[in-house]
Amino acid sequence: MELIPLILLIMICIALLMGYPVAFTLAGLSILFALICIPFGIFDPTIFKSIPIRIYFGIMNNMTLLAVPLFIFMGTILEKSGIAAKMLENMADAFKNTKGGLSISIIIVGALLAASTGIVGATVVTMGLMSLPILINQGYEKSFSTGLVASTGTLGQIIPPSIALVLLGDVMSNAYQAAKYSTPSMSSQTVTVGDLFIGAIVPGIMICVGYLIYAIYKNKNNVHLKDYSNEKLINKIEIIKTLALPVILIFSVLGSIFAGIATPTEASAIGAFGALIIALINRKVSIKFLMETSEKTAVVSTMIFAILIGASIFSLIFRGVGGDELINLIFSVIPGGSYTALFFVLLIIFLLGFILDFIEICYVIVPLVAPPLLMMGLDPVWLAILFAIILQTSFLTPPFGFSLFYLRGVADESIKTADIYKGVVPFIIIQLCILFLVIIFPGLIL
Amino acid sequence: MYSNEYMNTYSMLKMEKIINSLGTFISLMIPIMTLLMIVIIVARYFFGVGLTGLQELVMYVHAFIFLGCSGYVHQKDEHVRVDIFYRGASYKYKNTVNMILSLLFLIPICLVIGYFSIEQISIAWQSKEGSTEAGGLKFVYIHKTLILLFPITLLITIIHKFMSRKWS
Repeated sequence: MELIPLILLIMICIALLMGYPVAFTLAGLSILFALICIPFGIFDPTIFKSIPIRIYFGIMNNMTLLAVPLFIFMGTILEKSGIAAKMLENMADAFKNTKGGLSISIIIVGALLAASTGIVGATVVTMGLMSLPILINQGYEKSFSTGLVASTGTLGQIIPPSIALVLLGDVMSNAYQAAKYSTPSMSSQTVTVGDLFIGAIVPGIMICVGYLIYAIYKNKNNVHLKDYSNEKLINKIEIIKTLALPVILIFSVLGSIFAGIATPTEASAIGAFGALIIALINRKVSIKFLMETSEKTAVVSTMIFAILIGASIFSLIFRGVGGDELINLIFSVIPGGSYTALFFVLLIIFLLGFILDFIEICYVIVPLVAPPLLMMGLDPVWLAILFAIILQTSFLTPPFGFSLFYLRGVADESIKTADIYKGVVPFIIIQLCILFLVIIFPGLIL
Repeated sequence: MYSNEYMNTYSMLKMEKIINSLGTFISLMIPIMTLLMIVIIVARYFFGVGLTGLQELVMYVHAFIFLGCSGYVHQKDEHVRVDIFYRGASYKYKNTVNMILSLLFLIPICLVIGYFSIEQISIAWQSKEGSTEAGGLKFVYIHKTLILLFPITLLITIIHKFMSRKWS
């Protein structure tokens, strides 16, 4: 009997590989499974009545999730108005005289851009189209260039304000409530998206610094790099002008959250509005521009919310057929204490990251595995950041990493897939080092 | 792939048009929602006024966007897939998978969500359910009714795909 939810889980994994939309596979297969279970008395059909209640209270009336479309709107405006591309250009100019300057500027702009969009695919595609040809043209190794672009594109997962952290925050606070419900002795603290944003700062910066050190070290003795030291420096004021506004925007969004002035949802509205003003100052706003950015935002957020609906139906039915007992059984079988369980969960999330995107893992896997870990006394914010780092690493790892697929899509034919795989390895090592540092020193999470 | 019947083609085009213009129209709610949020923030921090009703209106608009666009996004094939195998598969494979799983998965989803939410929605309408917050809107029953946009718009796209026999 305990294995029935396991059958559902395995069937879902297989069905997902067929390629039908994730949201509908999750919900549809679960509903079919439940219908088959009803005559056997395994599933109570009155549970179906909770579906609209879940959708209404968990998703439609959830203030935290309102931040999702607004942050996407902000990122889309920055991207479509060409502000992002301009930032990259000017940063590259600013570092012209430094050896490996272009790679440095890509990491910095990537981190800033990542902070604003937070969607792996979009950032990798933009960065790949904009910077990959220039990097190779300037004499950087193909493998290094592709590795750099693929990894910088995933920074959006971990650097706040990221949509991934918004979703993870929502899930974690629910998981924490659930854990507290069954273990009343736990402290009465709550988890908010703001906590995750603050917690992600130090690990996020550490990853960027790791990338920077590697990029500088790697290109220190690269003789193929074009030399610009004889060229005159371009206009510094021009550089500051293009960089200033987006940087102010990102810092004011983060600052208002950290100072406790605004909730992440309010900050996302400020961010979207600010991005619109920057686009207006740059004379990019037209009716067509507004329609395009709005349409893109609506499509991406609808896609995300459809998965949330699908995942909430799945988890309702998974629990309905005894999923919680199964998860508890698995955790009771794992030997050792909370750390073995943690490593086990991180490994599973890492492997699932090959086939599932962030949103699915957040809403399908995390609600199942987080409550038992939290009941073992692990800190929710620390746990969420570990999940975010391991997922980001998973997206980078050959052969199935998402980021690599997106990059393959936009990279030139002359770049071999093997180049991309070879190029990301050092970045994966950096990621794993930071992950272990955060595990060993939980104090790195503010 | 092509339907020979004139009526079929005509109603198909019309349906596609409805889905697409609904998507474009709803998208434009995004900037409006942003502006409403700014009004709320300014009112609270600079004038000390809490606009609970407006905040609830934003939530209504938000739900209207992602539920109302469900069909449009499906029509544009933007719902994310696990495409490790799907990406390189033949047109025939894609068409078959989409057709069979639409019947097997998507239609039951629409029916189950539709059936069980109508039950709850009618209860909300009978009592003309309003917000429990002071100063909140009196239209919770309408907010809840928006759930139906999800099954309805998706069913329209399925019917459209079924009639045009084009599933991918």
